[in-house]
Amino acid sequence: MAVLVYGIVRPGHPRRGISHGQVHRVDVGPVAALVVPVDDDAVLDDDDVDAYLDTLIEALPHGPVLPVEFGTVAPDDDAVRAHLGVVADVFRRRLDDLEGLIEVRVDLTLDEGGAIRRIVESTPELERVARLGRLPSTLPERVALGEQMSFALADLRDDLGDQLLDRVGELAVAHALRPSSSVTELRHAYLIRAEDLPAVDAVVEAFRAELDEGVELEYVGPLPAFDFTEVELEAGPRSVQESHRWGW
Amino acid sequence: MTVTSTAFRTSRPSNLAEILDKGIVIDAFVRVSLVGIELLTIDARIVVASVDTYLRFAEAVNRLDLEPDKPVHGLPGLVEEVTHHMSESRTRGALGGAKHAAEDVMRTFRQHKKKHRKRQLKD
Repeated sequence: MAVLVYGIVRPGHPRRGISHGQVHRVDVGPVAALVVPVDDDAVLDDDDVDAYLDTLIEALPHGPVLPVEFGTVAPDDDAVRAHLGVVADVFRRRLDDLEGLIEVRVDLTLDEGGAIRRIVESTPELERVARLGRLPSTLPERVALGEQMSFALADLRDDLGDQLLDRVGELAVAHALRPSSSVTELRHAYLIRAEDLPAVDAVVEAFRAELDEGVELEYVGPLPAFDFTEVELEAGPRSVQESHRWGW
Repeated sequence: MTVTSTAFRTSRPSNLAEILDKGIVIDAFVRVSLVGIELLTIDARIVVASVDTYLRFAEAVNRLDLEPDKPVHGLPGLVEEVTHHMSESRTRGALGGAKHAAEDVMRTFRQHKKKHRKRQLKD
């Protein structure tokens, strides 16, 4: 029977705490896969995403978890064994790298109207333009004005991101910027030691308390290292390492 | 490893779609897509705001509930000065950067006013 492959763990990784009863472990030498049976003509929906994420999160307290891309289907357990047997050493090293590490995510969203007001009120010439009570008369002028406002919003967002990175970065093993579709959004991922989570909580809480009303902060974790599956991590003493996933 | 939750840290992201393109890719196996969800690939190195977005930002400036100021001569050129200077003065930093930009723009505005007065005297 076909199986959905959720993630890679160590052999003997306990199943306790995993709420989805059909999840089982396929052990292959130094690694194992967490899989769940699925129909051959499977049609995946939101419930399947929930089950995938729940399983990986629930497995995390018991050892490192390397998430496999959602929707990965193998023909059966034997196929999983055959393939993992070939790449086991690679995955084993990766699991060793991730020992004791978890991912947390911090997302900032600026309230667009509030941020624009803040920028205008702190820029006298923009404030004069705003007090005109009418838009610039030509389309190119309006586009230019909006473009410059976009740059100012990006600067505001990036400054907050730098402040966040300065604080959380001291406790992080690695950092990644996650893509966002809006100039008012900033999405960070941090790879931290699990034992540092209370300290990171305190830093993020203090940062949130200092934010203006118009900035929302979403803080998520602990998660498996979704954003750090390929990042090179330095061996030896902990060091802060910036890892800009998209090369920023 | 014992992990506890806090009141403000959630255990799951609000947008599950974000995890759909994450994780190890195992080419040997089939990838089944999520029904009804189109995976969008975003090139995060270039976040391009469309012209519509720029116009929306310009509208937002216009909608701010600020008292109208007295008419200033030569104002049509002021927008060009503002946008030119903000583009020259873009630096990283929130209000700090904006304040520096504002100071530069003020210098330009004073120069603009001086030029305008000179033109008026000449006329």
